[in-house]
Amino acid sequence: MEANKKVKNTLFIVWIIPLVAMLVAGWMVYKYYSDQGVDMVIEFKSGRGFEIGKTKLIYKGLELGKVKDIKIDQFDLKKALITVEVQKRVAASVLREGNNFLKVEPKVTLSGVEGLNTLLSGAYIELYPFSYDVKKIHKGKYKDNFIGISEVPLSFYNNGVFAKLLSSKGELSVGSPVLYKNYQVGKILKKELLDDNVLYTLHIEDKYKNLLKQRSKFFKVNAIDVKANLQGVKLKVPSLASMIAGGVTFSSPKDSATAKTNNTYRLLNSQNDLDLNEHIITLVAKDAYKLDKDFSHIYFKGIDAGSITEIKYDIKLNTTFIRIRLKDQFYKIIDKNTYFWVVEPKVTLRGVKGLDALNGAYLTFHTNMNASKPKDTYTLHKHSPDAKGKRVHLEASKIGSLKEGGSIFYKDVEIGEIEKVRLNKRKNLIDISLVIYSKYSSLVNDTSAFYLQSAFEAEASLDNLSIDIGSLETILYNSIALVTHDLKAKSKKHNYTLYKSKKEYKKNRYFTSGGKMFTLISSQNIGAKIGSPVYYNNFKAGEIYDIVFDKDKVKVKIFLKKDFASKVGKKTKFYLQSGFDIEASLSGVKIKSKNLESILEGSIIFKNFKYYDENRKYFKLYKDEEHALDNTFDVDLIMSTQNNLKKGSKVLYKGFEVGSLKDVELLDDGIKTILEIDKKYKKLFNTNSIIYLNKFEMSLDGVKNAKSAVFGPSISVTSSEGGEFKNSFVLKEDKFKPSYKKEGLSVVLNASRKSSLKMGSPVYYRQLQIGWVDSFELSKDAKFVNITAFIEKKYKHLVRKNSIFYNATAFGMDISLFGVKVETETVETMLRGGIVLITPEDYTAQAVDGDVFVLELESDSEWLEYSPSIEANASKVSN
Amino acid sequence: MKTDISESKALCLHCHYLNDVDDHICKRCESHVSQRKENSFSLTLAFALSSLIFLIPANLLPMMIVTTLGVDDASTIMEGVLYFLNHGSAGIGIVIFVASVAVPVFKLSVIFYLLIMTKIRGKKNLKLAMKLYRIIEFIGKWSMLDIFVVALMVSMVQFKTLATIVTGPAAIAFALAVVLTIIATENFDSRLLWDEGKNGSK
Repeated sequence: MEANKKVKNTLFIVWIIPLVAMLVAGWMVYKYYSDQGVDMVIEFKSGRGFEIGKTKLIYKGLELGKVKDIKIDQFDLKKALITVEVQKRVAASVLREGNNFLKVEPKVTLSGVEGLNTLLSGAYIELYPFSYDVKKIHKGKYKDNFIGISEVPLSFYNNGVFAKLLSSKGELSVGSPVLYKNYQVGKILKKELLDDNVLYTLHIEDKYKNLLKQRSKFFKVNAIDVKANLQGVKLKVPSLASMIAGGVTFSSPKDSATAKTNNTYRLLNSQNDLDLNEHIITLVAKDAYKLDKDFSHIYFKGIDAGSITEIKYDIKLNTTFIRIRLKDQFYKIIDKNTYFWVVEPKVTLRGVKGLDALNGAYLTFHTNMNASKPKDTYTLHKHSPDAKGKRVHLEASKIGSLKEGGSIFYKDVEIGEIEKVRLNKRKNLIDISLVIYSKYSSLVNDTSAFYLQSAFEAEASLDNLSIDIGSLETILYNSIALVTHDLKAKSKKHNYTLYKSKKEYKKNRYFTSGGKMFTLISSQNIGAKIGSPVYYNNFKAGEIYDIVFDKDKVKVKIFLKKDFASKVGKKTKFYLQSGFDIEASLSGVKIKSKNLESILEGSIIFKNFKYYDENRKYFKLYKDEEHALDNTFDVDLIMSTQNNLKKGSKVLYKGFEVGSLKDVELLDDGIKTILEIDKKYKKLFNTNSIIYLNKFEMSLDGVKNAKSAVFGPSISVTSSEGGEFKNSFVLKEDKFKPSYKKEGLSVVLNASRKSSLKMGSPVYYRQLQIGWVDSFELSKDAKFVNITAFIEKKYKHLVRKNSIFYNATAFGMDISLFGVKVETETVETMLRGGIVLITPEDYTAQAVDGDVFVLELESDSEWLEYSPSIEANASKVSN
Repeated sequence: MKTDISESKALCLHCHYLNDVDDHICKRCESHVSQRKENSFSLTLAFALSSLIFLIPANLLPMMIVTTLGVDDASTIMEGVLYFLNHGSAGIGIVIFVASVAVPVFKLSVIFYLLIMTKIRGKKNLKLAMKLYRIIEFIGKWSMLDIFVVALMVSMVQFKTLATIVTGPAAIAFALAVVLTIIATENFDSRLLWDEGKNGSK
């Protein structure tokens, strides 16, 4: 019984085991499921970047939950509903009304890369609680669906200081940095349109909030601040981020009180605007002078003194109002008599006045600095007050693009400007008033002349008497040039004539000094230019006045001074002199140089010769002195390609120079060259002459025409007497045309291909050359190449009707264990090609001109054993 | 048939000395002696039931939590099996299935079957039951296979952010279930199968 009792007690304990098991298991399941977290739904504009099970809900870097589901709102397809499973332990704080959820994505805003960590982990959702007080949060209403935000809520930045910034343009973007001394102290949080302005909300971090004062001034950080003028280029780049994204920076006066939050500031355009006086001065002008609000500045003695705030044109009044603001320090010095004027840029490379074209027109002013109170409105003048000097009047028939304000140059130095241009109806001329600046007024005297300067006339000259290199400015505008011959001459005249051009002026000058003009005709362009000198016995006798292209001729007009003009007569010949005469040969180079001026410009020389052409109607301009002697004649030579021949290539007869190539002309089907041959050698050019090319050739035969390798190819003439004079030839590509009119035998060989045979390739009989290849042509059916072989007269009996020709170019090669054995006719044939004639012992009748043979490609060893004895006169018998 | 009961003897299970039924202490080795294991049926049933209870969370809750690049992937036993089957590793899947699902269920089924058999009179399949008992005794030690797999994985796959494996709550439940099954098997006295109802110790 006792045992039974004990058993019962034990039994009771035994059943505790499954009970405990049940409890434990139950607790495990309960805990697991209760730990699963609480779901909440956040509504975002897009579900992009979210991943189920991956995207996290994060607060200060800690994970609070995970995205469990993503779906599109079935009632509003614009919304993406993101279900987030929030961890149980934090759910009480997270699911409260007022909390904000921001989707954080990698954002490369130019002020920095934000959410870089999301690049790897993907986007995440950041919690921005409405309060940092847990108790306060827990008091909030429970909520499990939220609308996601796209920007960090302003309330999140509750520590720093906020500021409002009004700007007329909305070019800054949210996230752009707020800089203080190039150091980022905050950023732009919000951007909204307020009436006509853009209102930025920006936040300065807590620790920097003392930097912002009530009277702080904000201005844009310009991406790249380029200051360029003729002194140099200054490139100011702020931080890289603001360079790309832009940004704002501010400066704070020390004596101002610390700013309260949400103080409103105005965004200034640039740092330059910082110390502009508040007073706006209005300048009244007729024209806006291409001034630009953003670029044009006001300078005072070269210092940036202010900027233009507005340019307005009033149609009714036909007046331009330019509103400017001067910097404080400059506003203080202006008085009621201050003289404002505009300086327009002139495209000159001389700098100084009208300086940087880069900055455009600018305004400047002159002030006497008396204490009178500045006015609000001034007249904007067009000229500087000190544009004073000597007044000169010009009369002109044509003024080109001369404008008031245009410049007057003396030796390319600006010495004055055009004050007024006006039509004189009575004289039908244009009156021009010039102002020659006081310091240059001595340059104008009775020997002065004025002419219109234009770019296209501009030229360089070593001659001191002629002025000007047309400056860049003259490309755009005409200007007036002043020439004064004698600076010591008296100065009484006030009225001058404006010559239309430098040419006109020179012509006039020559004519007034009793000179004369001559026209020379040249068949080709000349090396000299307008203004180039004309010499007589090394004296400068005049210069080229004009060069006119007339059809295929060049008319050169020259002026000769009075004394030299009389030297020109029937015997006179004009020729060009180029700077250098270079004669180069293998024996040396000979250079003859002329005077410096002719080296640079080329010149014309005239000389009286003994012989002259009675029939001459005009003056011809010869290429050089030799041509002037006129002892050459022309021969036309037609060729298919240029063969590297150039002007000046030599024409040789037996290696002796008889002339040269004068000109190359392109024809439809080839090239025509004109050879200039010394009259002495006229006999060489007759119907029997052959003209062929001397090309550099290097073969196993040796080197041919070595000279051509150095001096380029030349042309050779072979000739025999008796023919009639002929001055038109066709160039033979190769000297090799000796079969021409030569006695011998011509046979045709049908070859399946040309191999390396060439014109002139030898024809051998027993390794003795008996002829050569004359020409090639493709057979009519294009099946063969017809090779014409020429056999010299003394060997022609060797060719029989049953003779065999084979191409010796091919060579046999035996490769065995003991080496390589090459069989070839001669080494030369291996490379150059050649044909071998074999005549069998039982030869038949002698071949005649035009007989056709087959050109075998390979030789038969049997053929080599043939050794017939053929007598030269046997042909007659067998024939 | 002569049995210890019919002969009023009790076998010492430690030194296998045959004592008289009233000797509660073995005459030879002084171990505790009784004719049948005390409360064998109840204990076996209790442990078997407990094991069965733990099998529920073991299969319901995640066994292993794999964190790959910050992404948690909790998988239950069956999910793991299906994962392997679906990803071409049918062999591993089958092994895990057999070790983690089939074997424990089989073992518990056998235990319950044996318990039922002890209460049924005029039984015929005693030899089969005996064979099954020997089988579950033998495979008892292999039941922890899945736990070993998880333990190995957890200790080996610790690559910080790259990949980490931690055990899930199911692992504990499963381990408990296996242990309880083994205890249940231990507590089962196979002689009960052969005892005729009226001669039983109770």
